[in-house]
Amino acid sequence: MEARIASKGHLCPLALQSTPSSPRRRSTHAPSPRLRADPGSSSAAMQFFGGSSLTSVAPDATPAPAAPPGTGTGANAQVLYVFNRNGVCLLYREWHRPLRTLDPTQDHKLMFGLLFSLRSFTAKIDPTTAEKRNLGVPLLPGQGCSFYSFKTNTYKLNFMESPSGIKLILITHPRTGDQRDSLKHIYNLYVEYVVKNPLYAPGTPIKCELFNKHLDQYMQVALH
Amino acid sequence: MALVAIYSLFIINKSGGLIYYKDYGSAGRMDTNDSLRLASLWHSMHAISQQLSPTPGCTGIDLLQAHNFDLHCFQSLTGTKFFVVCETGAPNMEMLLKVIYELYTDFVLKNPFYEMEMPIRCELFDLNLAQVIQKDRVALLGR
Repeated sequence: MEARIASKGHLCPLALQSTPSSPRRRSTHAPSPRLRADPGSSSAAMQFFGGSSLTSVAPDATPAPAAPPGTGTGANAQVLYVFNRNGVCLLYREWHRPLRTLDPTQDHKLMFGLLFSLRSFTAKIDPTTAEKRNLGVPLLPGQGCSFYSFKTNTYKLNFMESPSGIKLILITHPRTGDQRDSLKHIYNLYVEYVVKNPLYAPGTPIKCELFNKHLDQYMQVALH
Repeated sequence: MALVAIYSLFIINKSGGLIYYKDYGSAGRMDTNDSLRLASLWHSMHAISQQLSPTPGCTGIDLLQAHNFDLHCFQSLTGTKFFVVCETGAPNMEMLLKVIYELYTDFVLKNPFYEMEMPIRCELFDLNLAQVIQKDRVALLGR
């Protein structure tokens, strides 16, 4: 994955050098018939796919999982972090955040540190595996037992790590259900609109219009 | 191995020191140093999760869901933390933690020879805890 991203980066000066915005996507791709015929897809998912021709370009043909629901109460936070494997915060978005105790860079560092330590914690405490590395030895992505969410009384943190070490963190209301599908969907958006963007240099903060637009669309379903 | 609901129980004092650890059949050996390290690591993770809360009034992690296990944590008002590592989706763990806390108050705190914040060595606590865990397992097998 990393090699692929790197090669995209090298392509950058050759292709589309003068285009300042993100590359346009094929908008002729119609939503798959399976999607329309699926009676199980919620109204939220339909709203995501139903709008203009641009929104119908799904990263994959499967219907988007329902976005995390918003409750409108004080405990409802919606924040997304994206880190690469070196701990650089590629993206930080907040749709609703009532409390900020730290300044942004400190917050990102602390968050990455928490995830790093929790990863080694879960890998070490894992009661189903006999062979375990020492605590504190850095783990490769996918190595050892990982976690996918933790819950406190005021928020729930959902976590996903891709094989290339991209970490997605989505913070939601504590009573939301399993968000692994939502994170996968957001990862698909990332692959589609960030990794495939020739102007994006890997390891730099994400400033892709199309990605942000689709992310907002997906998360808006949650807020309203 | 038979059906095991609970893999291990940790009790840590308010400064992050491990005061009680009991293993109920996790795979692989974990030595004393490792369990001490894990306990203090959990203590810090718990504190950092409060710092990072995007909403006011956070009291730390209650439940950690990993791919192979769940970890339920209960913090008493005095800062003593109890956490169990159990099978994914094991029900009624909050209740079990409350029961363990009750045993702790009855058989540890009311023991005149127990020094606060020190490792727990109380026979009656061990005995009653074993009974509760056993009962919990029987209830689980009966499902």
